[in-house]
Amino acid sequence: MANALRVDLDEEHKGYRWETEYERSWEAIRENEHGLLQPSVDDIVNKAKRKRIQDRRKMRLGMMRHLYIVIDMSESMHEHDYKPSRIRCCLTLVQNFLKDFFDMNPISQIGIIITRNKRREKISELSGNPKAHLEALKKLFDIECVGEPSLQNCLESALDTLKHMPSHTSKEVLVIFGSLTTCDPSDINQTIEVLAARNVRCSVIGLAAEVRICHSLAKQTKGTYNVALDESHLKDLLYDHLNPPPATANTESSLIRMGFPQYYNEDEGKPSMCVCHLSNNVNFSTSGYFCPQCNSKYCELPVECQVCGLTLVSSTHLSRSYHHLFPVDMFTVNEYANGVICFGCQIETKTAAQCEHCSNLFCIDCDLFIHESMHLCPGCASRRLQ
Amino acid sequence: METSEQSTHLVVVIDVLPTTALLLDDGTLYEKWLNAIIAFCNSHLLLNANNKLTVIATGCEHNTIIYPVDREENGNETIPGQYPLFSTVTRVICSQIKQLVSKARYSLEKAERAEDIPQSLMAGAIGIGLLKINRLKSEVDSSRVAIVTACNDNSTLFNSQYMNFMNVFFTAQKMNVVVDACIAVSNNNYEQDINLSILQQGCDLTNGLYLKISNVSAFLEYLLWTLLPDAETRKKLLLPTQKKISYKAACFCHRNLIDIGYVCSVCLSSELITTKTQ
Amino acid sequence: MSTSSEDVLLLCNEVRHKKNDGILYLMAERIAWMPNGKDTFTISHKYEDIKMQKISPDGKPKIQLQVVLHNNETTTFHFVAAEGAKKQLQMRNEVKELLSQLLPKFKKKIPKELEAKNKILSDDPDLYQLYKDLVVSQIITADEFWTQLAPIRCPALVNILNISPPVTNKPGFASIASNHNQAQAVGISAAFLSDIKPQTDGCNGIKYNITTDIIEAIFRTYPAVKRKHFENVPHKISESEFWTRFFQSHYFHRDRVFTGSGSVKGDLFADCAKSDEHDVEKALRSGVNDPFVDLTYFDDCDYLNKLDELKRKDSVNDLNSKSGKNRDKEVSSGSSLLNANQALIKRFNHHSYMVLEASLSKERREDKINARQTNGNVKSLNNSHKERRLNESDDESDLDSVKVKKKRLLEKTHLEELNEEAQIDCSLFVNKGTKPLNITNKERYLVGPTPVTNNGYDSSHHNSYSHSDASSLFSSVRRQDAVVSHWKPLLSTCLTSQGAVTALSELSPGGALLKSSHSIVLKDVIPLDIQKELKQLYFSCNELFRHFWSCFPVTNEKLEEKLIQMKTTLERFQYTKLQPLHERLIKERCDSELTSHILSQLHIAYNKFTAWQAKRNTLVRK
Repeated sequence: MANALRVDLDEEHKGYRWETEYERSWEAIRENEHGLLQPSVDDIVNKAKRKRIQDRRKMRLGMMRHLYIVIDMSESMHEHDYKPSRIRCCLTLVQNFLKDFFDMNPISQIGIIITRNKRREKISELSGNPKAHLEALKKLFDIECVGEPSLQNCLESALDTLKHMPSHTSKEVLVIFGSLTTCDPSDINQTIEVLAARNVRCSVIGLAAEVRICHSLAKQTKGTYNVALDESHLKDLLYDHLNPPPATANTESSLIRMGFPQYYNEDEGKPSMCVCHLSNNVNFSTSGYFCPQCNSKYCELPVECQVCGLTLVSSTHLSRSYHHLFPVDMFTVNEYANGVICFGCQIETKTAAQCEHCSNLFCIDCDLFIHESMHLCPGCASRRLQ
Repeated sequence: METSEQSTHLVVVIDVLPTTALLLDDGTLYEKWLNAIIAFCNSHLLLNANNKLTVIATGCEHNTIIYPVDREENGNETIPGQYPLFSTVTRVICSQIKQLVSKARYSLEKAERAEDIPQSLMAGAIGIGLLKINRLKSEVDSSRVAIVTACNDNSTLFNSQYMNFMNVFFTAQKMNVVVDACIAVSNNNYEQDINLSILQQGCDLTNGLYLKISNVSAFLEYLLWTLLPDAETRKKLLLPTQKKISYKAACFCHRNLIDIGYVCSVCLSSELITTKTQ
Repeated sequence: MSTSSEDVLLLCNEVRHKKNDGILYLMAERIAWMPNGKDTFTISHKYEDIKMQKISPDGKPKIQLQVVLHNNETTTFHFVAAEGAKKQLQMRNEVKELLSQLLPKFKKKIPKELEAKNKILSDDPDLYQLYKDLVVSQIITADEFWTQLAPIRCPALVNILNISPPVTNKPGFASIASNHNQAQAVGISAAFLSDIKPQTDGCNGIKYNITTDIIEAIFRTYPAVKRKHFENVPHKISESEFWTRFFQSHYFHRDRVFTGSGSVKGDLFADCAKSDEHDVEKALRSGVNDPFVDLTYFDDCDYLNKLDELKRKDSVNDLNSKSGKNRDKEVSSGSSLLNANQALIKRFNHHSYMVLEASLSKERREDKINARQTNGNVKSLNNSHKERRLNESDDESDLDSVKVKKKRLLEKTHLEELNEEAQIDCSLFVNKGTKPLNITNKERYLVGPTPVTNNGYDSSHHNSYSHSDASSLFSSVRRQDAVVSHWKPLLSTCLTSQGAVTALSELSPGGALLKSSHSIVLKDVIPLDIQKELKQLYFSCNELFRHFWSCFPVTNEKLEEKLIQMKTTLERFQYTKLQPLHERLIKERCDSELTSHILSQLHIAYNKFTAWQAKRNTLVRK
């Protein structure tokens, strides 16, 4: 329980550890009145979540993201500490992550790289089409995990494509690393320097333990490095990357050209075939989205028009990201000895969070839900706008 | 054949804004409408012993959860022969609505804010509903939200609420909560053309139903037929589907419809261009 | 075609082809057959065209020879010599021998390119389809196809066909192309030798499987071994013998001590051991930058001095050879044990050192060599200055080293995360250097990117509320209160059966609410062959459109040229492919709608082109 340890050490930071008596680090986790340990652990994880949410105050965010996901497929991924095995757990989570990623970041692109046998393989190029990535990921389930990973090879490969990207985009690499070693052809520190100079933000999620080179990589490129405790923690850490990261000072803002195609219903459009399914299962009908520039038909949005290159989105995709621009202010948490009723779920609770604008009280679960998922304070939304 | 019944948590959002044509004449239509809603709630509880119900009323001043409530003033009146739970539901909803309306009237009269334009706080009500769903999600198999409204003008009603609505709809979509909307319109011709487009978008996003009903005296039948079945059962029924909505985009500066525009990478505001050329 | 002045290399009578008797001629450049009674060759195949020959298996009554051409055509000759099967066999074998000598001479070397192209076309059926549609019908030339179209789908072509990358506006294409063909640099794991797992082969022997990866790693780490391999294999010893020796050598059995003599049977690696020692000494001499590392210390004893001591002891023992045997043995065994342990550690150090050296990139290796050379010079310079500035330089270097040592100690003992301040601001390093977000116009978001809708009813005509009328809010609330306060929910009367029936009629199929689209599902109505053709049309025209639109924005001449070319290509496409289909559809089904979509796309493209042209002309005029 790495977090728990840290909390404890803070309080007793005097001298070397071996000087004080043997640390009873388990005391940091206390049982609640029902004798359950889980709430204590949950509490620690929740505190970390609140901290993460608080850190994103009023900053420019990189909304157009080019993200490379690097998955470690070395021997260490066969371990069964994550059920059913590290690699299967990761691949499933990444699949779900991808679907949500394109929902939340419709104007972004993802590429996937794997590493094994001291080499890297780029299994999916940078693109905004989730289907291609999901198919490629499906094939990964059958590939054997073997050898040692090579962090440097992956980073260089990602860098190769990312360096061509315009400066107003946010360039990111997310590494899921289960091994404790990396076998590289030359000095990885040089690669890290180049990455930092090019503004590529590399984050690592470790599965085993903290590795110094990953720490150094994340630190120098202004990314994050976390080690997961279990499957649900891994999911949390991974989903944290759904949110756009803070934009670095070098990221310029610019106007990106986009198309907003209309959907023509059955009786409105011309009979046509869609471009997205032309190879198989083509949609031969009169309905669909027609690109405003070249008039090719697509079945779903968002998509990058394969014919004319225009990014096609609908207004809902843009509004999905609005909540990043107007985050809900943090609520202040207080203890109420007599118990209060939560405004949202009507439960009676002793610890409540208060919204400073509408003065309504919410229980801790509702508080977290409001800030993580809903991005809207129902109390404020239930008042007339002055 | 054994089918496992799924327990559902139904959140009914009743719009008690007074700006409705149903209140015209002698208001019998309005009463009928309210009766239909209560009967609908009872029917939901009838379907499965584990079904849960939450009713939220949204007015022009505030949103309140009117069922279930903690403390009741005059409780325990039951209609003989009726299942006690139903009479509780009826009684509670009835008294709460009465209280709400008189409070609203009182506060309006007192404050003399006659120049106020009514605003809809429905987004907040749906938000409260989602919080409640989140709280009870371990006790039921699925949840959904049913919005029942009789409002008939959206030109100013949903102003400045776009972002709030979008936020709750996206949250509902993520939680797999279906949002349905049932709108009672009067028989006037022009009202047939009104579309609360924001609700339409929400229903489309969450795979829900959007209905406009002019035959208000038979409102209950529509509710029972379309909104009562849960998402699983709906797949087996033939229900009125709406055509896929085309979300028209408009630019931020002139609010004109645009086909191709420029979007700022930082603040995501969409600007228009005058012509379609590069 | 009569027999010209060609050399006839072999003549076979009584050869049947398709049940006709004739004579088989094998000439200098072709094989030909003339039926009896005629004086022209009915069959003639150049050797260049022949892919291979086949003969009927022995034992079959019919003795035949089949010639297979490149285009898979076959010609079968049946040998029917009257003398009998033996003679037939003999004749056939003669023909076969001659052919097998001649064919290789003429074998048309299918250029590698063509093979590659064929392979790519067969691998990618879509590309093949495109090829058929566009090149065969002459909408674009084969050259254009292979230089412009195909590389975008198959970037490896750029290298295979040695062509320049296609003209396109898409950024990053160059990197995609290059990515495919770069061999990856692979690192060397420190444990690569120990990772070779042996397998027993049943009778007291062990087998080691080594892969190319491992061989590569061995060569990179130990250049000495690579040299040995180069010198000895394959002329002096075989590959497997070499590797067997390797595994017996000190590289694998690290504690093996070499006595001075070394076995005569060619322990190849004996001198490698010596050069390895030299490597280590060289490294020691060049020094290590880290003040905390001292390669000379291990086993808590001073290696160099100890070795000298032992040597002295040995030499002393030699002098006192007449002293007790036991003492000799003790010393020698002691020294040999010491030697063995030290050898072990020495070899491990050497291995690690070599692995690290091998992982340095080439440039840094050169740099290091240069540095060593200059260091040597600098060192000598320093020595000359040393007497002059002895004290100062010593002090400086001492101070420096002390500083460095302090810094290192600090790093090791203080963990950043445990620092109080760091805990609070640990997100700072993530968020450093971000600009704050200032949104000036929040209302725009609150309303959202929705167009202004005009419900547009004329307020004078209705008799309901106009909601801009503020007093009506008041009155409506009062009305509502009046209604609601008298409301008693009588649920049993809230729905009449008649009302229910009317509602149901609306909700049933065909009712007002269930007006589902009765659209014809196109897939079922249009015949499959037309669908297929339409699909292929879409495929090819999408490709063409893709190239057309990739030319915009037109920034240089090449793009201009391509744009003009594409426009003409599109026009050709319209007239060669689209128009006939359109007319056919009209004739057959009186339905011209199916091609209207592609037509509209074409018109959009043409309009774009004309607009661009107009713009360009105005610019040129200026």
